[in-house]
Amino acid sequence: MTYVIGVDIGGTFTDTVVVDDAGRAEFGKSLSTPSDFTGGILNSLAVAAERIGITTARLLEDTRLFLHSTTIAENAIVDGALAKSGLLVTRGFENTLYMMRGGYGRWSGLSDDEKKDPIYQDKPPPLVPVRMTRGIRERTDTNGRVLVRPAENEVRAAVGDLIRHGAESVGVSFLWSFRNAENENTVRRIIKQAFPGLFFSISSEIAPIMGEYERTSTVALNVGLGPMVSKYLDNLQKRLKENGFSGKMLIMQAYGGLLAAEECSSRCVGLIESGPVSGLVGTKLLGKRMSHSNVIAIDIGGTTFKVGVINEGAIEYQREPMVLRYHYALPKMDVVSLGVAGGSIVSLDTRTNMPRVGPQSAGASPGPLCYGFGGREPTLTDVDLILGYLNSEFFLGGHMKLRTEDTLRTFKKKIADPLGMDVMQAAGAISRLANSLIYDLLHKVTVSRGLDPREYMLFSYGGTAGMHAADIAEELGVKGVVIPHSASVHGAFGLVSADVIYEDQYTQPMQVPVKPAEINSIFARLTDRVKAQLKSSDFVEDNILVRRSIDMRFRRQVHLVTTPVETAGDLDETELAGINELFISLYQNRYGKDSAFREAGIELVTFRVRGVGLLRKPESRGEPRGPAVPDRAFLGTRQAYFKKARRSLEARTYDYVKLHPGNRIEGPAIIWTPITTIVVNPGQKAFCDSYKNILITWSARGLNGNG
Amino acid sequence: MDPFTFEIIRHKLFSVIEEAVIALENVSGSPVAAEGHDLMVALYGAEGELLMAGLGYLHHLTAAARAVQHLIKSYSEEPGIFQDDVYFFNDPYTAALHAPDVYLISPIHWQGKLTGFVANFVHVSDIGGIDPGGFCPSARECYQEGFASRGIKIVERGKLRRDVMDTILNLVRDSGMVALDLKSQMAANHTAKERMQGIYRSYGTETVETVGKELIAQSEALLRQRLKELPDGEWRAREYYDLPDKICRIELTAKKMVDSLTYDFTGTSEQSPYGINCCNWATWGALFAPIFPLLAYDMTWNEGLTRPVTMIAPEGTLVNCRRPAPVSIATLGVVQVVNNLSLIVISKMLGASQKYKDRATAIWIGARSTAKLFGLNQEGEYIGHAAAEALAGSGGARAFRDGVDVGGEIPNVVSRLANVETQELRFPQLYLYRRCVPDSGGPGKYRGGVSHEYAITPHGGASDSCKASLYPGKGIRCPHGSGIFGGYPGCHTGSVVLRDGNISEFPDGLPATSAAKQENIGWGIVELNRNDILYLRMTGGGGYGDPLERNPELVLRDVLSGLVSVQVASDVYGVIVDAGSETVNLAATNRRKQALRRRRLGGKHIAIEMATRAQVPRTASRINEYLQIAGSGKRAFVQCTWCGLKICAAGANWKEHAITWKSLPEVAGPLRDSQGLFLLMKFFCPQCGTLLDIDVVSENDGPLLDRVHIQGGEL
Repeated sequence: MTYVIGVDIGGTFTDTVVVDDAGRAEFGKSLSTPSDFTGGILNSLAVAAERIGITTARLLEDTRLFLHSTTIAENAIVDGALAKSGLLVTRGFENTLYMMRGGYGRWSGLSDDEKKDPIYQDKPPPLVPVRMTRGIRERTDTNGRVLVRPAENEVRAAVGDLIRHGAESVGVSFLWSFRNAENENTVRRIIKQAFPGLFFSISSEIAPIMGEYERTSTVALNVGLGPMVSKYLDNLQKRLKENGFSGKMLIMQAYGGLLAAEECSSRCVGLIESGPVSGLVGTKLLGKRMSHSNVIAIDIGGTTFKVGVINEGAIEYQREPMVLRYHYALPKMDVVSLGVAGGSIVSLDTRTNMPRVGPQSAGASPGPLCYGFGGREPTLTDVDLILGYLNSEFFLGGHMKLRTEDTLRTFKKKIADPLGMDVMQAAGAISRLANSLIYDLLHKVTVSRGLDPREYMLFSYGGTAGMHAADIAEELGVKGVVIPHSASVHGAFGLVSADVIYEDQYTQPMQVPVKPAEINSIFARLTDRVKAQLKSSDFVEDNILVRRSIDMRFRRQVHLVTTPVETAGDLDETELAGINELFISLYQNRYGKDSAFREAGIELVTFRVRGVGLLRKPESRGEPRGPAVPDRAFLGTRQAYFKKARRSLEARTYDYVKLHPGNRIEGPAIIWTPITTIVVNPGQKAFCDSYKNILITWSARGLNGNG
Repeated sequence: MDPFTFEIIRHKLFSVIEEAVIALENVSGSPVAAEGHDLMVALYGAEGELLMAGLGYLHHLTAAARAVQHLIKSYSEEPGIFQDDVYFFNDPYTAALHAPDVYLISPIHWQGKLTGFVANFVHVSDIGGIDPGGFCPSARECYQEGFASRGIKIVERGKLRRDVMDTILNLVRDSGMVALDLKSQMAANHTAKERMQGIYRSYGTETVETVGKELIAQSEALLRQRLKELPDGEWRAREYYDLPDKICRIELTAKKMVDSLTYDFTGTSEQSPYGINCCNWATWGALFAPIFPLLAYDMTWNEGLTRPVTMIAPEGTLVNCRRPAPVSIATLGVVQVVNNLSLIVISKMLGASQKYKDRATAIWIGARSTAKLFGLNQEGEYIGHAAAEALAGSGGARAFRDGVDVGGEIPNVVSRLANVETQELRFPQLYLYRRCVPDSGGPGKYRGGVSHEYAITPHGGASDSCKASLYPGKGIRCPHGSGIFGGYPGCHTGSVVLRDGNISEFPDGLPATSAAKQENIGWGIVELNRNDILYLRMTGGGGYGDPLERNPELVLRDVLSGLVSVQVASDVYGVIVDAGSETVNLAATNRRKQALRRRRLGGKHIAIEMATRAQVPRTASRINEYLQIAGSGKRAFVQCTWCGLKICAAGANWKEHAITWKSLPEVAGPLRDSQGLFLLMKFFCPQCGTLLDIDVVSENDGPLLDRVHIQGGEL
């Protein structure tokens, strides 16, 4: 028996999914160990190994592929633990990074309310200070014509000078290098020769996109992360080897595919937010298995709220990616972070007495009132407790006693009394307000992008989501809610659902009509490159898929739409015309019927090729369905507040672990799982399918409740 | 109304605008709108009152309200305001700021009843004036500035009026781009309308209307409450407009009594034959742009905020011109002057409040030099290009921190600069450099944010040349980036055409540039040919407080980052930096600071302890960073809070009792040549030599006299 292992390191837990040759999956979960993450990884592996019935050493010995996603990149940025780096840029443009596109660096990443108050806004310190930036006399123009070539002695002197000033790594970002990388390649050659062993990156390789600020920022992040990430990956490889592992390590990238660890070391900026992306990739596979090609995935925990959308089986890419108020430009699957979560503080505006949820958060520390960790402000989690949803016995595996009395007292004093409402009414209203905020945010990522929620299923992950999902889902009008069986190891499940992906792109704006030969030669070059990379990772032709696309726009308009090339091989005139038509329809679907400016003509801008090396996926092996009545899992009834009824009702409560496939539950009901609480509202029905996914539906719109 | 429904609807109304802005940006082809956020979308009530403002250029909020009210008054009967109509409006003499800032206004109906309006603006690519691009430096009357509509239906009951559209497009240059601009505006209104109808469907029009009315009442009450918390008084501000043949003045006295605020522009120069003038509603909008983010940062931006404010703007002046005065450059002309003046009087008022003193700020990006470029692109099509450079900004210094370097602006809190690569792609030009300007930030205890400069040359078009329309012509000789409470102004703007320059050497700044001929020209149309260079520089942010108080470590940091020169560090900040060892020479610095203080007092001996701030007990009546009113009744006096000196009786004008020096703006650093036309009038404490305040003056103008009232009567 051989195995594929997926390990995802999250803020709190390290999750493992092990898949064997037969496609059977087993889960493991353990606390993350930030001082040395490998400890948590090995612990988590041990849990999974034990469930399989083998030793960790045996598991690792028999593992072919070790798939991994981690938050170390985000952590390093948040903790300010980036390497000291230097930058080489086109002379005359040394301040590009420092200027952060004017006010953009000051206000981007702030909430709407914060944006209204410029006096207290500042830009974050630049990733690389001006003092560590050197201008090189070189220039390429819009058409990719080299106007001045960099002089070797100038480059050597500049890099030497940066190293003398303490640079551990160096980034290179020249104007128009994505159009013609000649000058950056020259610098690469010089650095390799003159400074062997120095960690460096060139922008045309890391982020070959238009816009020098974002490209430079991406390179700066990459060289800031590089030394630390390579050390981490080397160490992890070493530790796994010591424990018997001799397979290949692949790392998740935020573009939604896996990359060989060696490759990842030089492109570590791709690690940023790869964990949540991994979760979304897993959702996509689950959705496909359940025949849902349109999915809204929400993950609401104590401190974060992430939303991703799968549209017709595809995941959109993010428009202006940012990490901790630093911009970067990479193809990154769109996972939107929002400001409402369990830890969001509930307050009243001191002047108007208007209730507010967030934007301040009690986070994990001091946390909600009911944790008793010293939190003094009521949070959304406290509201959920007051409404009767939470149960100490099931909360975080029963390890935490929830302080109901204290919570009620503080909430009454701070919120209910000043509003002149009783506690339950006030809590219900706050919950309604929170749901409305979440609703608006989901509306923004669906309806305002031209997506109709009625065609979507809502997949719910995270501790807080289960109590709000069904309510919001019904208002949003989606088809139903799924709380997947794999929700507890969301990110790791995504890893074993993913494929190895290499992407390459080339930017050369050209206007329709274009000669097919010109495009075919660009695509052929890109295709050869990605195939060669996959073959060097042991993929054979049969297991390689090539996907091609073109970023297109109407001339003079700003927005690019990535248009897939749906045919294989060389393109002819007819197929090119088909691509134009597809572009027009995609554009109008996205930006509205009258948005297209056809009169101006169409422009092809960036050509993309994505090489997919297919990996074996875990098989779903359903259990036979049992009786509809969930007697075994029934725990009793309790009073809980339901927003639709605007009052407390008697709810039936269930233990998820004891539910059996085929069980049906009618709302009002509460299901406690080891990681979340699922609230089924009056009029809604929950169904436990063969894979122990919970499906919630309602009769008014959407499915008929038969799962 | 239960508070939850109220809060939910408030949030939804804001979301409507956000989504409309996204729709506009998605369709737009304008780099300044889509990449720079040079736009605005807002919701208005059934009577045209501002209901909910979005983020964008804030002077348009009240102006578009006026436009909506005009439509209601003039066209409700004939031709009528029907469901799914869209009105085109751009007349400055009725409401708009200038003709190219086109408002598209859509009524919103629900079940056949008119329930409100949505309006938005973008600066369209051209409006048919004498000069291309909407800004017309050549115009001497408004009739040369393109066409101005007081309202015409471009869409009638949901159908595009092709006759109207064709007429508009026939009147403008680069009609393709203008068509796209209008299309993006229609998309925004359409989105907002649909979303509003969704809200009506869920909550009913009455509920939404009630929330709107309550929000307006709430904002008014909140602003009045804030004004009550601030001291009563009068604060003055003045700016000069340095036109080719004349220097004009714009004067403002802001009077705050209890919970209301009066802006009085009496004393402002008569209207100009150049298109910098403001019509009444442009001035009204311009004075509010800083009020929203500086006084109402935590309130809903709507009609309620306008109610505590009144304006006196004498007719026939720069701030309330009469036909046929040209106005096409108003937005970068007197509108920005009024923005600056309004910001300064608010900051002085905030600075006089113990509670709000940290919110005082010096001027952000006081003036900018701008070029619109015209010529043939690579394909030989005639195109216009609005450089996004004017949107970069520079932050004014604050009471607790430096201004944000290249940090944007106050009237549009979400503006941003576009990449060089986008600029080169959109117009056949080559940037030689784009960089921060050293010493551009106004020196102070906290330094003003630095500005930026750039240079371009024609490159890659179908012809080797292009035209540049240069404006608004201000700030080249006159300081506009004023500091506050002793902070110096930022650098002047620069606008230079260099003929037949050393392009092949790729100069990376003005000093490295050589040319056959150099013309300093900030106004008018110029032709740029092969190897010609156009150089433009923006004004730096103003400083806050006396630069001698600045922490020497911050000065060192600035020197090492190339933001402040060693020379200015020594001359203005009194800080001796050893660039080699990257340290401050503390002993030399202390000597230098003492010498500078002594010089301020005319060479008089000064006690060594004056170099540090004394423990002067603070009273409740603050005047500014360095002054307060102490004592009581008839014995109340103005006191220096640096050294404790009693400067004069509380009722007297303290500026007359301070040591006063007039000097050239260059004392604040390079790039401030006023050719002797403008001077800095500096006021020092007679005992400690602390720089208390600076007024920019021309000729024989006297100082600006402010009055802060204290409890129990005026002083």
